[in-house]
Amino acid sequence: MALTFDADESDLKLFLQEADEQIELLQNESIRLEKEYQDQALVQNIFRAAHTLKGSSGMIGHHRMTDLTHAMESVFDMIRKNMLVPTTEIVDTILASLDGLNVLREEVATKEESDVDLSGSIAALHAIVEGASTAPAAPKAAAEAPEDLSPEALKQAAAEAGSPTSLLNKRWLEDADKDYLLAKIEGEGQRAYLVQAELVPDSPWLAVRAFQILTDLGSVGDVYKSWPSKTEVEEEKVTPHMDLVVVSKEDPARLTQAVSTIEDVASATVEAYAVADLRPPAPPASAPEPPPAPSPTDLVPATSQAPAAAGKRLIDLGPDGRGKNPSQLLELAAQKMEKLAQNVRVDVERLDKLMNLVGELVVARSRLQQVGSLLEAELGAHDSVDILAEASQEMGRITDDLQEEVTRIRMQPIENVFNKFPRLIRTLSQQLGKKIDLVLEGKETELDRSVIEKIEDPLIHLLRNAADHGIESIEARRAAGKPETGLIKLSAWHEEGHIIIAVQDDGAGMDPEKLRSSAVRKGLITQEVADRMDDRTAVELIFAAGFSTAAQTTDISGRGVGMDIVRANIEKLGGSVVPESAIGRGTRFMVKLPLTLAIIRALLVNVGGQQFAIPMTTVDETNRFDPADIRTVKGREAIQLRGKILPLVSLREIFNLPPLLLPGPSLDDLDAVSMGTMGGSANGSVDADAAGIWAANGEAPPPARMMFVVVVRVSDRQMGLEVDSFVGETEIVIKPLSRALGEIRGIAGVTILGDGQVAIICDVPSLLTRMVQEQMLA
Amino acid sequence: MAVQLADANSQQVVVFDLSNETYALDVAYVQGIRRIEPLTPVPGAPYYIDGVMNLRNEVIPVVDLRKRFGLPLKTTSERSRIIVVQLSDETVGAIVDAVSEVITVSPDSIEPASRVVTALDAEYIRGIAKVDGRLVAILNPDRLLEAYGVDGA
Repeated sequence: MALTFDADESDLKLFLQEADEQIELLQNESIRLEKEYQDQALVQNIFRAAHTLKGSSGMIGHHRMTDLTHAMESVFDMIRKNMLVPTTEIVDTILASLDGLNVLREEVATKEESDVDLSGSIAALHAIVEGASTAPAAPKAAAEAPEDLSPEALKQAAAEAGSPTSLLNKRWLEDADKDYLLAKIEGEGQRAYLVQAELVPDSPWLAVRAFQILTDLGSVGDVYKSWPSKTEVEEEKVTPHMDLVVVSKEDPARLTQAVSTIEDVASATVEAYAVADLRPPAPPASAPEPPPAPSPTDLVPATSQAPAAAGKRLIDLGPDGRGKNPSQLLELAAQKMEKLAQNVRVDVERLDKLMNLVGELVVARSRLQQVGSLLEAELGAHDSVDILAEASQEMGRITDDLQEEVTRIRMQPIENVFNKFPRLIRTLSQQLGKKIDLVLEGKETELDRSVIEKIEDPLIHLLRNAADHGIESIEARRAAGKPETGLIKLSAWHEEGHIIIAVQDDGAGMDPEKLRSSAVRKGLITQEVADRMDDRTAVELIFAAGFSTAAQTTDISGRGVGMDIVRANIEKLGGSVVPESAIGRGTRFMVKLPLTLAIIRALLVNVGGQQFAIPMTTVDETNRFDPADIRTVKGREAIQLRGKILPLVSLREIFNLPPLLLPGPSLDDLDAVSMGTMGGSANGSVDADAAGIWAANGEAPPPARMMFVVVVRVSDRQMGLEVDSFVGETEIVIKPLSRALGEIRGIAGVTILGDGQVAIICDVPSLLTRMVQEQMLA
Repeated sequence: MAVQLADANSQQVVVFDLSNETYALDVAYVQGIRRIEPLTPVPGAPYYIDGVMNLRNEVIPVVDLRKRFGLPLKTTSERSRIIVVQLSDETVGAIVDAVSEVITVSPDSIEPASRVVTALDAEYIRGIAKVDGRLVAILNPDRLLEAYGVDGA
């Protein structure tokens, strides 16, 4: 069913942007509640996000979202006021509600009503609130107005037995805040006010007006605290309603005037705090003690509340704000706001387009340099040639800078992916009946969004694998003398123009012996191969197609995707994955990825009169070989490189290209290599075909020549690719092969070279995989 | 400049020759007509794809229509052209023997393909138009690439 909202298209877009931020925050932070609920800043953030969503969904008339976020807000509010401890069940309910919230968010994007039923979630949330309210520890007042009362206020309300609760308790002041305000009132003779301002909701300048309120109140007093805070106002996270705690010598009317004269302010109320409002109540004999004992699952040392409160005493301007007086703070806020105005949101598509254009520019630059070298070769030293060289060098420098800048704009912290994993691990540990902690490191590490998009699935699989196969059951861990709670560490860091992501567990590790025998049993390798296989290679067996060490395939990691697919997907990105394992101590997968996929360096080679690009990330070295040195190992061609035997495959053969037409450099001593030798050493069908064509043409076979070999490597597998000649190294922009052609094995995509010709990009990982598979079965 | 407005239902088609027959494509699908240029063969592609070409920094596949439709093969000549066709989700080039003209056909001069015999399978054809006593087969552009029947790659 189609949905309509009380807002136009641009408002909805704005709503979605804002909602996405809040939902993301809720998703990332709610998971932490279970263990870190005593972190006031955390709880406050979560509460605020739900509150903001409630407000903005109300504004566009998305009632289902308003209802849901209202219910969530109530729960967060109870937690915030230490009246509720988020148990595993409560966090489950919150997470389930978040799933519903996501569906509702989609409704706004698609304008189609979904059939999601939220009554269950909302009822569950209400039940949590009511359960907490009726608990003996919490006073009855909480049930009536669970949103607006602080524990202090409740204590007071209880102590004063029925005295009306002042509006002043609407905003929860911490003890430290009260101390500060009391000091101002009693020590300096100032007065403390709660100012509430209501802005016209559809004002296009909400953030500006909020800022004006802050500034104007700052001129008649000292804005001690505000909701939204100054930082939030600077970040344009504003609502039409604003609360401020102001310390001033002026009388209330002066403050009212200051606020109400600001444009778009619909109403303003100013109320003074009485000393009694701020003085801590005498410890009652049977004081309600809201925070119950921490749940047994709470493994994190409880953080003390006092330091957190002290840290929040100053107006929230971040670390820059410490130790500044109010006017300095305002100046700072103004600066921040100015800075904010200079930021723009950019459509990702435009960035992609820009990156593509920069890519073309990089290619054109290479072309220009080539032309320069050509001219130099032709004309020798010439003024014009020098000028061209200078100009092309200058352009090269600028292009490099431009490329770097654009690449940097597209960079995103890997946090965007990492943040989804705590929930995954939480769910997995519940399903598996294990205890698992996930530690995230290097969340701020940045990489191109093209890589970020594609790395999530492989990482999910590695994490599932670690939780399922890596971490042992609680009993097994106990028996092994390990802590019951297993640890999975996900870390990311930059290294030599790459990003490394490590997935490490402290589980049982992989036993090479078991892997070998399992592979033999499954017919993946022969016993003979297994006997020769070293432990390192044996661990690599998990990447073989159709391999799984678990006694039974669980629905956790046995979802039809094997580790072979994981490796294939990582390698498709130009990356590699290397496992390391120690029995009893755990396993670590090191995933190495390029920072960007948009522009890569590639080696251009000539095969069959056509140019091919081989990504440099896979190229170990280029080398020439005498055809006489080709060996045959088990019926396959191989070359010896520094004592290592590498399989040799001809690209011409792989791609079924016409035989070599241009004569290459011949050997110094042609007589030394007769056709017989060549025919004897090379067993490829191409040579036979080639000989046939030469015979048909009535031409003499070309002289034996050096063979050009590109040694490629992916992860730790190597092989030699025979090509006709090397062309050179260049930067290329990867373009997908036409959809009409589908996926063609051995082709990673196409690129446009400097001269406008299209070159095929070799998919080295898939070539290697094919070679390894053939070898294993040999 | 006089603009000849065709009646709302009539369509303009690009007429071209292929193996001694006359075919046409709706101009709405035609992005341009180019001379034959060197293509980059794609190893492993379907046999009727002659290769890919660079069209203003986009890489598009080029179909040899003779191969695609199982017509007798012939090397390209001076008159051969690549018609650049815009399909719903991608652009392709189609090699034809020659492009002759753009004409307007009215809907009532178009008959369903099944009632006329051509060298092509009726699946590839949207309809047959009678123009000046000639029969022109209007191709179904979506069939240029899609594998049909058993002749897919």
